[in-house]
Amino acid sequence: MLHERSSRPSWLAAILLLACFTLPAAAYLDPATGSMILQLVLGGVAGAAVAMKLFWHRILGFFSSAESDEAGD
Amino acid sequence: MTKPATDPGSFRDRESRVFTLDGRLCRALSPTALSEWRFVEQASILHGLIEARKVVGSREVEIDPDILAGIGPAFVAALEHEPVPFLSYPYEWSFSMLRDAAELTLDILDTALAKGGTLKDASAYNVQFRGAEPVFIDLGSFEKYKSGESWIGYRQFCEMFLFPLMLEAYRGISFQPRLRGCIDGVGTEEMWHTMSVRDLFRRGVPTHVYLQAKLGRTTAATKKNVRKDLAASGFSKEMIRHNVASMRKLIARLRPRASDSHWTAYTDTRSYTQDDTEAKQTFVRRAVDASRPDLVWDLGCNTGEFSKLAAETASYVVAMDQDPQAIDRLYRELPAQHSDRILPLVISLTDPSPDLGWRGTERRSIWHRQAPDMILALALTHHLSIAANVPVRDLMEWFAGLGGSLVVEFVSKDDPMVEQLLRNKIDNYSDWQRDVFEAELARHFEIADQVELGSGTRFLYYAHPRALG
Repeated sequence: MLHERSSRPSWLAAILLLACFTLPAAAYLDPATGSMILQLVLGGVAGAAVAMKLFWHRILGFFSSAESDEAGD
Repeated sequence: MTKPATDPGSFRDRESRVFTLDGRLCRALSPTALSEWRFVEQASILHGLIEARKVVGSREVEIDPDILAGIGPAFVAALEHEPVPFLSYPYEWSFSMLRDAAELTLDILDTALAKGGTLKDASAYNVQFRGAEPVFIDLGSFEKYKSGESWIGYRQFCEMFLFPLMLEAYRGISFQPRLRGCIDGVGTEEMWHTMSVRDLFRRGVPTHVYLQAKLGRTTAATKKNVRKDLAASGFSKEMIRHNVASMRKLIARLRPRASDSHWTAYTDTRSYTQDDTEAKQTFVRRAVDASRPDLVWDLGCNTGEFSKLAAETASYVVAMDQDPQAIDRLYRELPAQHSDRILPLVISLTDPSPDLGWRGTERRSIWHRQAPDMILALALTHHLSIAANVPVRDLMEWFAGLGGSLVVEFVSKDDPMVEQLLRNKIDNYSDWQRDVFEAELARHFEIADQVELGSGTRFLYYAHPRALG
């Protein structure tokens, strides 16, 4: 459960990072979701800080996923 | 008991509904909307905005619960709003009008955020104009800001304000037909496909257009709770305020691409003399003084010379012209004494705003709003009849159908302007004769006054509809 909480922000980061590379999904459900995430990018220093935090978490998560799993974080 | 009439354009928000009751303009509130209103009142968000004329005057009023229940089962309270003199829609505004409405929306959002509130949407239909003054009318849009929430109206703001303005500024594409064609604005995907490679380097395009379109596609099918996850990641209202400030700067820099049109130069290039101009002004002033109309429609107003003259007597003048640049110039140059009395609108009389939206009643056609008490049609009918091929008989029937008295000008085929209209046309306009014009006019109207201008090619008539005597 705790592991799930910590992974939440990282998928946002992943989407931001991959937005420039991914192929369009054949989806039509809720385009407003992307507009919400984009507001991190448009949020100035505060938004950048959160985005950095997200990326940082993801990088850390990449290197220490086994450890995190053990620690339940 | 008087029955309330619900506004057909106000159904989208379940929490509030606009209605009229005994000539009063009111808004029914659900318990949720009532608590939001109480919050907005207590946080002093509205007071300064209403005082600055940025938000329409509003107060809580007692309405019989049975009447409220008749509007919808959810409603428990009501507000009364100060009405605007004449409704208009974004597809009838000029560039500067849409830009001012956008800036107003952002300013109000920022004021609300600073005091713990927010706007739950960003529809361009939330703004109306009192003359040349934009005013925010959707009190139901204010609500308490919930910690960690992004601005839900951001995408809508882009599609209804930012993208239409960018289209005109960056691509030279008029936004009015686009907004009229789609009531929800210019879609993000569509906007992206309209951009050229050059546009990718223009201010605001990489983020608001490209990234938004891309992220929209990438995340559309997500099953994640983005709202919750954004809040968990530390999203704050300062980020919205930052975005609002930068969008405001971006919008303030946008300029329409086209330069002065043929029509904005018209008052400088027209064919008649100073004497004719003065005679025309005297005639129109005399007619307006005699009619003392409440509402005047100045059709084909160009840059509003006669709208201003009518506004000296009339309560309100709706100045319509098909040329967005002429309307923009009128809007920008309205002198202070007329600024809340003349409403400039981009309207093509041969392709006017229709009934639009859900059931065709959400946005009213120009004819289904408030009927005029007086119509000014100066230097107009030869364009309708010769350039747009409207027969004189149809023209007069149409005038009669609008209601109100009429000041109309006939310009004969000897006039240089009509000669120009006919230059590359086969002249089959046999009904474009002064006697035919007068006879058709007299079928529907009683001619009260008329004058021939010194040039001998222009004739003015002041007439009352026959039905009204």
